[in-house]
Amino acid sequence: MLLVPCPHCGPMNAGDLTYNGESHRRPDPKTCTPKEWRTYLYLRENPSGWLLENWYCSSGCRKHFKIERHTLTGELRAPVLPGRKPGATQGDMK
Amino acid sequence: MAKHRRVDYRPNRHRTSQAQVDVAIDESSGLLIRRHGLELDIGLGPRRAKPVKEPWDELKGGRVDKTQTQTTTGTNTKLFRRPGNPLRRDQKLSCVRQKSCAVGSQRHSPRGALKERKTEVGFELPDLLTECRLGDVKAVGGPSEVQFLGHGDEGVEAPQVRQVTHLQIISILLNSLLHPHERIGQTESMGKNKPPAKYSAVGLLWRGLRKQSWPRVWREPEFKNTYDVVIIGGGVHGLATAYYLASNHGITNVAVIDKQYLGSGGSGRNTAIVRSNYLTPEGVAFYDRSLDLYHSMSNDLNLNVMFSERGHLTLAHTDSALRTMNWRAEVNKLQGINSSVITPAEIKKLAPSLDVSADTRYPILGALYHPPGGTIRHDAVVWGYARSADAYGIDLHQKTEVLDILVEGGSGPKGKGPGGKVTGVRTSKGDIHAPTVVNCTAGWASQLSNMTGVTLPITTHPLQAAVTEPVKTFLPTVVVSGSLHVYVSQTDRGELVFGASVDPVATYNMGGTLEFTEELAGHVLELMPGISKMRLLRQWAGLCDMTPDYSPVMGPTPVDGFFVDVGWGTYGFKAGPVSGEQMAACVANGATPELIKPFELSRFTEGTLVGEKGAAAVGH
Ligand SMILES: Cc1cc2nc3c(=O)[nH]c(=O)nc-3n(C[C@H](O)[C@H](O)[C@H](O)COP(=O)(O)OP(=O)(O)OC[C@H]3O[C@@H](n4cnc5c(N)ncnc54)[C@H](O)[C@@H]3O)c2cc1C
Ligand SMILES: [Zn+2]
Repeated sequence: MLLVPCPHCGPMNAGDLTYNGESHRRPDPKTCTPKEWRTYLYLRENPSGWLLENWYCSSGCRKHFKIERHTLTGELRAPVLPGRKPGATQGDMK
Repeated sequence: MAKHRRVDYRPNRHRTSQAQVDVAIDESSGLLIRRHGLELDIGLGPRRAKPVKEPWDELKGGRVDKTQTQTTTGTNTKLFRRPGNPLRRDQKLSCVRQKSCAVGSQRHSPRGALKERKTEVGFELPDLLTECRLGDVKAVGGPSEVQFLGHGDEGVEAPQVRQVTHLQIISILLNSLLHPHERIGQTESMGKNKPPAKYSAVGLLWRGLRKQSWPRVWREPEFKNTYDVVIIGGGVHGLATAYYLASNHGITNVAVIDKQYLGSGGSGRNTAIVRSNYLTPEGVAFYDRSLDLYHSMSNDLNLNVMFSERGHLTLAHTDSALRTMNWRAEVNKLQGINSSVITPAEIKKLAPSLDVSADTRYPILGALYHPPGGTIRHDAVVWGYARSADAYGIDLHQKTEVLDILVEGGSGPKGKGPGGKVTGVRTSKGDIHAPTVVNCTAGWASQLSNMTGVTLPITTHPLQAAVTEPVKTFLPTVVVSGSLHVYVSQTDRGELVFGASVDPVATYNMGGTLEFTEELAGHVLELMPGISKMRLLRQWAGLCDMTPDYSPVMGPTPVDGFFVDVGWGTYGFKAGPVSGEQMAACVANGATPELIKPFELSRFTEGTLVGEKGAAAVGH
């Protein structure tokens, strides 16, 4: 069973959260081309290794947060996000 | 736990009386064979005065009563034949199932509804039956017993079948005794290389008596440094592509490379369900061609793949699900696929162990019934293709991992990416030069594609399955419930095979989870309260390459010479033959065949998705 630490609620069973997959930078819908938008919508790196992901605490605090997970071993670690101290617990997803 | 308890205490679980059951049996003579299943259901009813022994009580220790299995599995005692004479190798591309020829006219057929095409060969000799299955009646039986009446423009006709008599079975055995070296179902045009050794009932007996061991089925080839085509992934897709490259296009300088053993991926882990009742016309046409190929496969490959055309039920528990079923049925009918929506009463007749009463938490409101659906032995398919590809001289390299794909002239870093050209692959055993590389690695597809700089619309999720101890057969069809996220079928050996939908979190880890088993048990008991005492033998998982629209990604990529046959998710086994055939054509002719045009990678940037979620999310 995968325990995912919500920054707010602490460790949660992955089944109580919503998995939103790989974290991408969303292109600006006002200026991007349809191709860029579809690339953002559909294409994925899908690596076997560390992956920055979006999670949603759907049956807890209802916050979105990011976390890094190893897709083979299931290990979790706090992501290094721009503008944040490495190792600090993540906040919500903008 | 709560789930289980609720099921156990529910009153009035079994409402069918023995009289009703008898009527049901009389009304539909074809159901006679399923009588055992009916008894089982009644026997478990709480109000029955004289309790009936549960069938699996007698079978502790995993022993299966052979004759029972054979007389009670509808599927075991049926053999399905194609119309016309036994297929020859060079015929394989022609339209062999009359239905496909009739598709055009079918739309205007005044009769509308399709007749069932499957035909039963009534065997009276259950013991010899096993022999016949091994020796493959279809192939050795000389002239066909199936005659076709009428022509395609009358819609779809029902083939007529004669009973196979003792005499015929003896003549079959004699035939294979007299011609032990004759190849089955193959003509001399097959290829320049040695044909695969013939399997026959007599050969089996001969080796058995002499306690002879069997020879290796395919070579362990020397590692070569150049090939015309390198296929990565030794699952059903990779092997089928290799086989059809050789058999249909004469391209034999081909290597199939797998990092483990052949069939170690999804191809050896799936629950072996085949069907063609998809939701989009593109999907229906494609999967139906695959069923065609599966029909003639035992002949083509001289290996019995144990196609059991037992029928496929997709249950609807909500109004919206029922609506989708009706939609699917109409799409299917238009394409000439035998598919219709049936009522709970009819479901009860087909699969008596299902609880169709109205007082369940998720009452069964109806089902999409697809008689041509069924199961096939997946290992046999992998081995059959491997054996035949090997006989054509194709090299099957196992335990050889592809570490990198070599690309030149691309727009991305290191000369990779769009606009580039494939020059070969780097493997754990050395480099191979090849102008064409085909990615058939299913769950690992993204990793391999990323090596060329091509990004795929794929995420890798595990799909779990489980199997129970074997019991006497009582479930004659494949049963799928989308709302309950579960499907179940019974193998020829009597085990119940369960599957579900993919785990929601993407991972490359193939470990099983307790959550799966717990949820599965609750949901299965929801459908079949009678099996609450059965024990699970084991569970396992395989990796599925899920796409956003639940359709595959096939054909060329922006990197020249790099082809993909991936995105097979939870439904790729049934598509193995047609994918191989079409990918081989794609690679050999350099143009995407019509049948797979809708599945090209470019559909994601062009926004022309082929949405199959409604038909593929659970019901593999
Ligand atoms: C539990 C389960 C149940 C299923 N049930 C059904 C079903 O009922 N009906 C149905 O139609 N489909 C079903 N499927 C889906 C089906 O099994 C797959 O879609 C299908 O087997 C894919 O076949 P493949 O040949 O493309 O890939 P696979 O059989 O997965 O083969 C891929 C191969 O690539 C190899 N490979 C990976 N990386 C490398 C590398 N770097 N170098 C060399 N080799 C590599 C792997 O070792 C593997 O052998 C099920 C799947 C699972 C897991
Ligand atoms: Zn939370």
